[in-house]
Amino acid sequence: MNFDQLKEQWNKEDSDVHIPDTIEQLKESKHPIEKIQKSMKKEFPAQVISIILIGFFPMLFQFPPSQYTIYYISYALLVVVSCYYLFGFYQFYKQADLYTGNTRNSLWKIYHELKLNMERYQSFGFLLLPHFIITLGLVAYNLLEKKGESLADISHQHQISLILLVLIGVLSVVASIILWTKYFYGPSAKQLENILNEMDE
Amino acid sequence: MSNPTETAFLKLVNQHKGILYKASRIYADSVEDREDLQQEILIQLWKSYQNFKGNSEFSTWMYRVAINTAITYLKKEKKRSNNHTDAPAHFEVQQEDYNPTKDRQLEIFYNAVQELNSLEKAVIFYFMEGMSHKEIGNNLGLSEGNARVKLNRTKEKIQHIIKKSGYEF
Repeated sequence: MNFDQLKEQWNKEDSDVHIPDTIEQLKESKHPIEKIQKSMKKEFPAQVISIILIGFFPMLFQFPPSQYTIYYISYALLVVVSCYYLFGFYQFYKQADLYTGNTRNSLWKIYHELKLNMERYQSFGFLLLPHFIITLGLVAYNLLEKKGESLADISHQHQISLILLVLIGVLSVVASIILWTKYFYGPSAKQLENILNEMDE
Repeated sequence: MSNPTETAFLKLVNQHKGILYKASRIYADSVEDREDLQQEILIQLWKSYQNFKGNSEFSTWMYRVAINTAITYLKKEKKRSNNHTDAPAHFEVQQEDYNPTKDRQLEIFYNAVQELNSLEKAVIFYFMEGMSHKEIGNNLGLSEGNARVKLNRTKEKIQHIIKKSGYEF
């Protein structure tokens, strides 16, 4: 056999493909990039509702009005960055021309979108942390105040335990966010990176 | 009831369904995987069709969407050899693929292609479709020279795999 013979047979081969009569008959996509886009769509309402609900924490935890300014400065920051993040993910979801360019451009585009979304998820998660620490701090302060105590009344040992607890909590959350994004996006990004490297060889 | 855009799209896809069939034969080795891939390509074609301005031939555009979708389908890749000498000593034409009316040589070729990586599959697909080095390079985003080098390497690799499997090439 040789390539000329193969080409001849290739050209003669019947195309055994079923083309549906309507688009509705197409099954749901199993494409990994499409799956990422769909899970983003599913997360979207939950994220918006969570951000709105976080805005009601001062009322829920009965913060004194004097603490509203501190809380809402932090909250405003959270809202601004969340909007940037949600807009970015909406743009990625709406992208319909990921596959139409030449292969190198197409793969780079998808690869960068995945990487960018990893960063967006991480920055979103990291931004929630200081806000929740501020919220927890205010809740703790108010609870102690109700008992007629203050943070200064806590024993030295308890203060160290509290700091350690916050530190471990923060580190665990940061690690979980990084590991989660790597688990979610990492394999696809890695495979794309390998193909792009092969193109340069 | 389908709308005119949908009808026009399905008609065009029907005219060029060979691209769909052959891309799926190159990228998937079981009937089930092939059907899945054909579905994925159709979905991506339809999604992208809204932005198809007709600046290029429909077939040129379809080639790109089909190959880019197949490459990024990213199913867990089979452990394949990077080295020619690690190619399987012999492969049988799979029973599910075997059709006495089809030429056996092409089946042997399709089986050998499964040993290639996704970029090599794209290169050999475009070559089999009769594209020049320049056209292969344009579709993949490579220079003409790089496309030539990659095609020669891929052809050598296929030859080696087929020979290693006990067939003459």
